Amino acid sequence: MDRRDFVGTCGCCGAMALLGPALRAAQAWTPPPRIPRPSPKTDEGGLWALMDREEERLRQSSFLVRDGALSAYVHAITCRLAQAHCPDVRTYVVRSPYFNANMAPNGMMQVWTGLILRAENEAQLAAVIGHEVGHYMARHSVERLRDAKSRTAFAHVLGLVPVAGTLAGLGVLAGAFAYSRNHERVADQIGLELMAAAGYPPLEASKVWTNLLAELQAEKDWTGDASSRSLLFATHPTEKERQTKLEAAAKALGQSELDPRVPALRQATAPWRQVWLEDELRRRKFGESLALLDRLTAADPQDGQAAYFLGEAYRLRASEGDGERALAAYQKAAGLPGAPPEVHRALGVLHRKAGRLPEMREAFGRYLAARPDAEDAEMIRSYLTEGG
Amino acid sequence: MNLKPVLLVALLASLVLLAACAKPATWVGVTPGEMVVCERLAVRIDGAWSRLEGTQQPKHDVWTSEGMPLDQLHFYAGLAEGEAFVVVKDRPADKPIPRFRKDMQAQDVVEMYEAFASRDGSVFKLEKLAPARFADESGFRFEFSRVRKGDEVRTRGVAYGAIHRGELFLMVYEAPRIHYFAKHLPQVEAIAQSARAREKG
Repeated sequence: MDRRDFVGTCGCCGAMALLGPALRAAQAWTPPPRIPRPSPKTDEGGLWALMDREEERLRQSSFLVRDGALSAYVHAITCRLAQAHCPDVRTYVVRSPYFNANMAPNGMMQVWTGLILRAENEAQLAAVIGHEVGHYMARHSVERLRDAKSRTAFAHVLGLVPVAGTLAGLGVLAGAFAYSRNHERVADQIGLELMAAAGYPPLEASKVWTNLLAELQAEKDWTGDASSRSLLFATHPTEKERQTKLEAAAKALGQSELDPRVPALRQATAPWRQVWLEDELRRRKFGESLALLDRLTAADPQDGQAAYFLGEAYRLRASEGDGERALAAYQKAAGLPGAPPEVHRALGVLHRKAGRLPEMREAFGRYLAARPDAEDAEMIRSYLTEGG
Repeated sequence: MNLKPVLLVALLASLVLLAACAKPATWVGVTPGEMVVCERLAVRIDGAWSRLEGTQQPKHDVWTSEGMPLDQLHFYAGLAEGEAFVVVKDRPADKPIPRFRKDMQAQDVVEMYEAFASRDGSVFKLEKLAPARFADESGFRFEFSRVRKGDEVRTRGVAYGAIHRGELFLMVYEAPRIHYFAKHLPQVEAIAQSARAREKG
């Protein structure tokens, strides 16, 4: 077991808990004072020291997104939510196409790019970050550390007990480390409060959940397999119920007239969106990806980039009829703003397979005109000489 | 969930693995000169290579010069329609695994390999793709870089591929960007130049 597993917090924290009874308590909730650094002689201090070492590793990691503007944007959201705790929290954007965020007890917060890609607006991103800040403010990891069941786990984290096999990846054992239902409920409650206080419409939190449920269902429909590999759903079995309760709680909080800040998120993520969409398709979870891309293309029918990637998802899935769906999506994308030059390459490849050489030449020509130094330019040029 | 079931599962998994590995795969030295890989690809070898024997994958051979995971040379010889870089079965979990189709173009094969090489979250980047002769065919050659997820080592790779009579022949060499990649590259290029497809026996 890797000590990083202990950072896994709630495994994946779109996790929105049962809020009905919590709401009454919520009205009396006020943010706690800043959390001082614990003495290294205490168990909590030991945990912080471990997390400090993890944070140093994270700073060196190739998977850390080193984009000052993006990091500053996400950190500013964290600060809006964390209020007085802002100076104690560091926000790291991590390149990983999965929906996840987590926060270590020492204030190291990770936000994965798969989560940012899925947020429809800044408020939805704030919903997940707010939930994480909720765990931090309530010091849930310390309670978990002192819980009898977690003591063995902590010993593993420290490497005191050998564990057979390599358990790669954060959250593999999320089940063993998951916060209790009560912790999730409290973090949800705090998260909604923080959202409202920061000027975000709390109802967006339940929309995050609705979208994820739709993705999961689409994946299940495609593979015929409820994805046991999903970090999120492995640890949160009553998702539908939670979504319903979260929605009710958010409606009770009101403030639905607040601006969810769509353009702000779109602008901050624009330079990265193509890379993240490429990473998304590399997961090869085409049910989830197609649900996501259907959502993106529906949200903005003039979004050429989303239309192109919808075509890519169909082409890569390669099920019955996907070739025609891909072609239609590419043709639509080619006429829209924001489509990458790769859409012409994609069209060229389809034309070549179908033996439509004049159309192939035109498409490849457009691709090469836009990307003369593309990594595959030499290969594409060789196709242009085919057929005389 | 507490850790006890996890440990039990780990123990059972270890036992299953031990049973499966009753005949463990072993590294065996490759004799320089002519040899036929997976009975389908004839190559000429110069230099010290070892190959993994007993992998139960008749269409895949893996070689190394310095030892894994420093450098690795993979051969996929004669993949037929519907086959993949790993053995796939007809089950939901295998559905997303990309499979070879004989109408694939060079880009499709690169993408199929990319999916394989980034399945664990490693970052794969295609650096160059160009036409090249391989296995008696007008094939292709591609270069890539990768950051391995497990240890974050930055590697470089070069591959030669061709579709010969509806079957895929692919040879992929990958090694850490620092020192090792360049060290064995000339030998790998020579092996690729020497490669000839053999018909099914």
